[in-house]
Amino acid sequence: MTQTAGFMDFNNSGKLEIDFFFDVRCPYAYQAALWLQEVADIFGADLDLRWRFFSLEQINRKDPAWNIWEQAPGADTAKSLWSFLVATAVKNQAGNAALGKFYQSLARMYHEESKDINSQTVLEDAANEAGIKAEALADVFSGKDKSGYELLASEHTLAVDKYGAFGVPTIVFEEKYAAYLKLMPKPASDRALEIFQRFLMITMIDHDVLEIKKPMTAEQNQAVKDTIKAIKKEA
Amino acid sequence: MSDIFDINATGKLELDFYFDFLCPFSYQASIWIRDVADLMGTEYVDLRWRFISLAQLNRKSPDWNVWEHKPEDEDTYGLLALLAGAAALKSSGMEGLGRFYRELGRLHHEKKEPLTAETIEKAAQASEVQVAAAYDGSDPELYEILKQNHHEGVEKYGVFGTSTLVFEEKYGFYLKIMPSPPKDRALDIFQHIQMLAMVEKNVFEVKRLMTAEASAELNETVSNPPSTGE
Repeated sequence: MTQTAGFMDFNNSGKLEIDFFFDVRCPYAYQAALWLQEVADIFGADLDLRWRFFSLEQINRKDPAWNIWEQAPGADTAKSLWSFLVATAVKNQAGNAALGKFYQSLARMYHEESKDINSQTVLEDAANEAGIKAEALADVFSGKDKSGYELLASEHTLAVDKYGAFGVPTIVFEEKYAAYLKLMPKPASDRALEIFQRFLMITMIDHDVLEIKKPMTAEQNQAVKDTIKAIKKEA
Repeated sequence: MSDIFDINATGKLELDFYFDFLCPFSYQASIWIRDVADLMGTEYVDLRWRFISLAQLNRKSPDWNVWEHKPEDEDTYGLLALLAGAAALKSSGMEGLGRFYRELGRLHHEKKEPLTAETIEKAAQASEVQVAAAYDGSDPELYEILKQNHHEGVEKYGVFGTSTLVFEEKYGFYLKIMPSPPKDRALDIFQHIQMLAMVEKNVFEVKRLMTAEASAELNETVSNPPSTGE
């Protein structure tokens, strides 16, 4: 490792592993993803940024018998399910980096361009940006390829059981130290690494710090809402 | 402290630490922030102890105000200690209040003594401050200090819990720290928090995830925090 000191390489892989748990519909996860992608690009081969599934529709359900991975995609209660199913196909065919690209493309279409993420065309367009042709997704849309249900179930369950995840984005360092992070909007590029290092130190080293949270006045809350609104481009 | 951080141009870094005596997380954070202030020195840092009433934050009715009640009234938990803190501030200044908080925090959180007049008196003696006016009701100004501190915290900064640290009368951060970090990590942690509070406006929250096991461990630390001696 060049960028990250060896003593932080807890799992002895020679790299810094980061698992980034997302749900495409979360605006905070999308901004954090853009930031973390920049960080990963700066680190290069020393950092392994892995895109992981976490369903907000699942975590917000109190009923333990209900599972999003047993629902019909596109239903009112399973609005993110198609995105996970297609994301799995992208990952199966082209790997983790393509999955990251697909997620960021689809999130851009949803958060910035107000597109319907349950539309087959939109999903195909996002996959196309990640290098996957529409034909390669036929089995997902026909229902033949069910691997997405399984991957979503296993990753969501891992996040909850192993790390105690309660929302997104959840960021896990070295398969061990996990934190929730709320960022809005994506920081300026010249601040990306600085924020990353402070976040990493608090999460991996300073275990006595359990939570830090900015108190918000009414005006500050409004400013955040305005920022989220401004991310949406004028149609 | 470099000048770019001296937003209110006083030549010092002002830190307002909002707390309630009864909060175990505030107490641990207070040990840490005291370490930070000691390390940085009084010529650079002005650490000010500010009151927030958890009874008031958690109140059920918008018309109910803890500062309109006597400490023996229902739902006024923490009030007697807060009034005693205000008395310590009035009689011995910010430094006296800091001493009083350290003693009362140690008795309450480490030695498990309830926040009664007896414990408060013990803390007052150990820290050499006068707090009698808190129980005899002779000084209405104590209520006023509490009310002003609490109002300022909530209205100016949006304080929702304790402890909350405000930098330069402008940038607030709620802190949940348990236990207080080792001294050799104190400044590092402070700098992370200061940068995220004052410079990185895009970062709103960092929250460590807790498994059931980690939560159980935390509860154990809350119940039996490390001893600060004496």
